[in-house]
Amino acid sequence: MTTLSKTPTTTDRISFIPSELLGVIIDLIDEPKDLLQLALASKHFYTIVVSDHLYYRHIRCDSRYMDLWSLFQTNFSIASKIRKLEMVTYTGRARNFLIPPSFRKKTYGDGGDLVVSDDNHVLQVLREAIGNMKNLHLFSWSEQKSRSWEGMLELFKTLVARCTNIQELEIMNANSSEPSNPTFTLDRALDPVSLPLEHHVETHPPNNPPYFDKLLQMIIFRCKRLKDLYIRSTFGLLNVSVLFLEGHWPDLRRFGLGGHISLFPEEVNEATQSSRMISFWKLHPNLECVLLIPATPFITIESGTLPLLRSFSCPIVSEFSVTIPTDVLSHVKHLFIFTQLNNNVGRIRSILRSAMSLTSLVIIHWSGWDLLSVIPTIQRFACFNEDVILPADGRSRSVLDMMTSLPHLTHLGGISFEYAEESLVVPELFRFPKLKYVEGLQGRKWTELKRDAEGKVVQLHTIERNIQDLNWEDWGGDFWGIGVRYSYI
Amino acid sequence: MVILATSDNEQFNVDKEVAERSVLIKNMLEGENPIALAVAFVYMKLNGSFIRHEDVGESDQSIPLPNITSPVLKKVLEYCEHHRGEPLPSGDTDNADDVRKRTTDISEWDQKFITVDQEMLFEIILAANYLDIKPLLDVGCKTVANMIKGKTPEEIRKLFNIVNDFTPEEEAQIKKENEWAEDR
Repeated sequence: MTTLSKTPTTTDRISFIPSELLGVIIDLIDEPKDLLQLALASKHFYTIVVSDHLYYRHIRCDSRYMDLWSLFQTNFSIASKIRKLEMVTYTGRARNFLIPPSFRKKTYGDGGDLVVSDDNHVLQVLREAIGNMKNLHLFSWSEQKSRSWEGMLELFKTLVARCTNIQELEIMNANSSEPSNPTFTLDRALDPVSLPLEHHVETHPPNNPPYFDKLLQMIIFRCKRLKDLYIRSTFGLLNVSVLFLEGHWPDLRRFGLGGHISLFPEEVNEATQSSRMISFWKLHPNLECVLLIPATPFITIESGTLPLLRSFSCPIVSEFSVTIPTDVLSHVKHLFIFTQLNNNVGRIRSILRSAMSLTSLVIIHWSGWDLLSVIPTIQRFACFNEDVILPADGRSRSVLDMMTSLPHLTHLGGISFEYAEESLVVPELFRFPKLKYVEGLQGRKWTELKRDAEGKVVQLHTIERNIQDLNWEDWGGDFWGIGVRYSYI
Repeated sequence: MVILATSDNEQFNVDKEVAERSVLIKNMLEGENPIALAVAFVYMKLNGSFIRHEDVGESDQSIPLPNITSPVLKKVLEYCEHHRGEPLPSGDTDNADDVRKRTTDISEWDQKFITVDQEMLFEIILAANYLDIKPLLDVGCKTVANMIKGKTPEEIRKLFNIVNDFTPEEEAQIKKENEWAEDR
């Protein structure tokens, strides 16, 4: 924390408000960005805002920060300051963690105190800590670690009962393995990623983990103000049909189901599936983003529904697996299509023709490059699993010719140049009239093409981290920006 | 009726139901707030009058509110009058928190009511806190919070007449240390 040059001074009206009242006002400001702006107004605010509020608005770390969980467990007031809690996997460095500075040194791997606790004890403390987070808006669990089912069940029960302000929820890799708590040795603790690899190798685990039904109940009945819902299963087939039967969230903007997800049980016929799905869309007219990558895709949208839809992602496994009416497609700006069969080109062509507002397209297993001519106004285009484009190769040459003829293309992602000589690739990029970002020159990193006033490329700049621009809004405001797409391929 | 006396020696005749929107006054009337009673007692003695415990709330005796001026009390009573009869917030902190955290939830009437100059806004907040009128305190605090949201430090300083006492180096250092918050 910065050491200030002199004692804070106050001369204005707001600074004379007693600190406890100022605390009430600051408690009502959710966004870290707003808090930082306020902290920068004067030293008086800096001393109040940063250490007491800003550091606690957004916590992102793995579950072993026991000192932190213990604080939240015992101090309701501090725990209630948290809006976002992300449980992530430690991947060898804690750089992306967000934790108050006083707790940072007590991490592992950087010379600090190593905390290795009994797993059940961790879950118990964490559960009680979460129980105190009354103002939690976002809860995300993506930490990969084998855990006891009972412990996770209790944790979600607490979430159901106590965190009634949840607006965004992401549950990934919470647990799907047998309740086998691995021996927690020091070496393994330094590389927790290896734990799930050893203990989650189970390709056909039993259906729905015990906590999952409870989680769905919470989502349906306790999270009425939900705006974003994304459920993804890495292991085991999760049945989410209850969502379509009972789910109603008036503010829902983004809805996603991915991975090993079954939308409906096998015994429910297609007519019933369609009718339930259509009812669901009608109940959610504010949906802007829909991602459905289920195990058994059968997706029906009725004409006149989803008036705000601008991002749609789905698999197309046959001519009949997805029904999207023309009027819905006409205002979609971002499409993500997953297809494996070449004989679906006709279906894709008709979808693209109807998507007249399309500016962004992400596609996996592309099989019809000539379709690019259907989308001349496309601005952002990514194609996965198209391994190599060699400028010398005849087919690639025609593909490049086709892409460089797209006058508005600014983002080109997913196409790998890894095996091509950079000296061969770079001149090709200069042919794109408006290209600003390209992926694949430096591994999976993005390269920015800097241009002079006349539009001529003068410099290539490698972007070290995923920038928001490329991750979110520019690709359709989807949950899954270009930077994280590989996680579900 | 209850008589409320402000710091500038004005008296307000108020329906008991309206005055009891204030938990402080309600407790005083019910004799459940010995500290408030003691304060009132001392205040009345200093002002040359005498108040007996059993007199508090009687029509011929006034309840002194030494921290509140008459323009502010007038405004506070306007709020209490409008919301008379509505259920008082329970002591359940869970529910109170639910209500508090949604800054967009200010009713149309409340928004219009709280559209006042900054001096009055902060006076209302202080008065609501002193009188223990939680819904009014919420409205005031939410309004200030909303005024802050989305603004740059310079805009916040200008809005509240705050003097920037950071050196440019300090400001840069704070921004650097909290760079993550800018991305949210």
